[in-house]
Amino acid sequence: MTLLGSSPLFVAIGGCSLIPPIPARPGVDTESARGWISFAEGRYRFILPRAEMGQGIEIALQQVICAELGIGLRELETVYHQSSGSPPSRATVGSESVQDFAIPIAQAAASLRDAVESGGNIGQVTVVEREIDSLRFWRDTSFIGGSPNDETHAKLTKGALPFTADVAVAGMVFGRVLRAPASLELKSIPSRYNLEAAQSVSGFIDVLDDDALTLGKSVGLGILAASNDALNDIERVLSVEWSVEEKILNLEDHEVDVDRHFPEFPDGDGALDLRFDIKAAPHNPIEPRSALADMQGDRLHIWTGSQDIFYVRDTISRNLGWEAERILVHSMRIGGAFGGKTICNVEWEAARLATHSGKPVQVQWTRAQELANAFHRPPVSYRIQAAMVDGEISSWTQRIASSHILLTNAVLPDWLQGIAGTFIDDAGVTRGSVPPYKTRDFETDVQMCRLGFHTGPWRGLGAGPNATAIESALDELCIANGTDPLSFRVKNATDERLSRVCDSVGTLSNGKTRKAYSVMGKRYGYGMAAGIYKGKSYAAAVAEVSVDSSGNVKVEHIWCTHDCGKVINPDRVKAQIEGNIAWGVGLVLRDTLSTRNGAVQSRSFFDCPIPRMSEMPSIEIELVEPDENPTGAGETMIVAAPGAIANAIRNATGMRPTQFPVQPSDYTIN
Amino acid sequence: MRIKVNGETVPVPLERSTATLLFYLREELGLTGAKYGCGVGQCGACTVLVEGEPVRSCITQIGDLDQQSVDTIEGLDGDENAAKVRAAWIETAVAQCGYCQAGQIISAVSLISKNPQPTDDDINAAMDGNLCRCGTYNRIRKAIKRASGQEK
Repeated sequence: MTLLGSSPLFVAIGGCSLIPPIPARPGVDTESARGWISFAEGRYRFILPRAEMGQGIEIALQQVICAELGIGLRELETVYHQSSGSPPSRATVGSESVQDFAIPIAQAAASLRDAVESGGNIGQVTVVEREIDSLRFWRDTSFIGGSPNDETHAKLTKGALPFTADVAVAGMVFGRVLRAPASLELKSIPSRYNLEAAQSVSGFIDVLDDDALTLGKSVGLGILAASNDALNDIERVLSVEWSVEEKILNLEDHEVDVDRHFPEFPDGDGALDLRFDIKAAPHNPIEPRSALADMQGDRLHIWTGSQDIFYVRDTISRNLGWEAERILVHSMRIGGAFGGKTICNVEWEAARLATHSGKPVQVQWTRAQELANAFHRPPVSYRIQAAMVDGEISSWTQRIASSHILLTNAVLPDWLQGIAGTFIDDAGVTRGSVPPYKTRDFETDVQMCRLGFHTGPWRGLGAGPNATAIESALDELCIANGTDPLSFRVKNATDERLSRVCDSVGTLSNGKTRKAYSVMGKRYGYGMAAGIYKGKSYAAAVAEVSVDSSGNVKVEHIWCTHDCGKVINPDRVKAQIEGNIAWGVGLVLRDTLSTRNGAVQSRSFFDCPIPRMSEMPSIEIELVEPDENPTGAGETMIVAAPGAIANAIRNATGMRPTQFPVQPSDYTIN
Repeated sequence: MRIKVNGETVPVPLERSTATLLFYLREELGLTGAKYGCGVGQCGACTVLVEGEPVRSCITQIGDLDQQSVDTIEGLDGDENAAKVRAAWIETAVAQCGYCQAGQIISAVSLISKNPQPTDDDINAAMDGNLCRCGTYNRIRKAIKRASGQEK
């Protein structure tokens, strides 16, 4: 057996259909970039090789191209990529799009510009790579560093920007795949249902009882109807009974218990010793997963808002036993993805229903399906022991228990996950798990357990929860040693750029002068946190919170500083920072998911709420912008915002939050 | 029975009177601005105006709307408050993914139509039922204040 590439998903073992498909996709380079930009009949055309899900990659790359070509935004026609017709590209994940694509695309644009200027060039342009300094976009000030308002916003205000479920084709019908209310890790299959009652529903088209309608070990029952209303009626009257494998699965509270995995954790000997537990969380995009599948001739067209249309294509190709070229996936704008729309599930359901019925089929998961069928952020449990000597961390020992993120059980069967896990750590779980401060003795270990519900990538992967625990422990260590948390970070950061954002957030927030206070039973406090995301982007935050006598926490204000190198579009970077702050508020105060023997019990936003408008803090952002290559901004502030909020709660109440989401009952004043 | 959608009268056959307004708008009339988000009135992505009031179309039956007017995001072109809200929304670059935004805008238009100078508390009360996972809330607040002339 060989391990290929750097991603732990790339485990190659021949001859088993259960292995997830591995789309052939070279890393992004100028060669592939050349295939995304073209000039014909006086028009420049750009095939956006990334999924647009609100992160603003469309406008950012347009700015780069327009700066390089010296043309206006409206002179560049942009279309979303498909699974053929342009060079394949990797999944849109990990805040990589500007970091990895901006420069190759600028190189290709520069060569295209030269070719067009020299006149008469027909056919493929040879990309001559040049020094970054000599690329025009690098010194451009007309597009780069500005925030042009593209047509996206105008279209959205008129409801005129289509998402997957807004696409209609002639003869389209609606489909749904019902599943047992059980764990996807248990074999389940429909055993009885009232077909006659379903057939009497106006708009009924068909029921598909087919073993191919799998998701994990669940075999579903497909229904087709003329409208979504009819689907609801059919689902109700079908009264499906399910045969479900009887088995007690790994229980989250038992398995994700750091002390059970590491009973030999050393005696603290007077050092700080803390345990943190962070619950599982859904992504909760407002757009539930959706796909449209339509056979046109002998080719199956799929429209979907996916972070990885090539994975979708190859999964459907494998499942149908068709050549990949017979599946054409059209990328759609995504209504929020956050790491969750990276595999193939609703797309397969639509594909199977369409190939069965011969009709174009739209499937959009209900909110309850979105929670029951998707993968989620795994719960995680930490034990951290640390000591400080002379203002420096002298020792830091930590243990982590969680479930898988990159080696997700949503894709990898148990046996393969086990084999992969023996060779490699799950880099998703451990992302950002090393404190970014000088430490004399550092030791860490992690244990992962497959859970009964699917776990996988969530905004920032493990980085958000890991930073929350680490920055909380560090704050407590500073308190125990009478050390100022701001000065500590500035002085001990392992990277100068981290030190700089910490220093800047101190100035921005006037941090050193801020002290906890209380007014009319409401306690106010301040907390700081900072971090490095994927070794390349830097963030620091100071939070102000209030905690009322009933223990309700309100995040009042966040000051933050952010360094992602050269900034293409500062307004979109700020939007990402604001989004991550909302996710930080959610991580500390709200995010939760209820399961029972692996079956997700949460069915709506009532069961697993996300922050509302009134829960948002006011925000001040300073972008620190060194003359360095652009890096990622989509997940960076998730390493600072939640820790800052947790530390502010500690400052306000004197009590260290160790269970997330925090419970008001822990912070009441009697 | 008949309803008026974006100013145009739409006859509804009796057998469709139990249809959900959201699905009727999207599937039968091709008005896809209002989105399905939760199906139980908790997220606001499906918000439309019924007789000028914001309503969750995913939990509204057509049969309850006989002779009433329904306005969707596509039908606000003549509305002065909608024009202000749209302009403010664009200037503030509110949207990220955009999926919830039609519902947000409908709620905002309704708010400033009734309350031309909403306070922060008024905005919270009017907008707290419209969820956004991208975290555009502060920009929504700013856009509402811009649209109501309280901020530049």
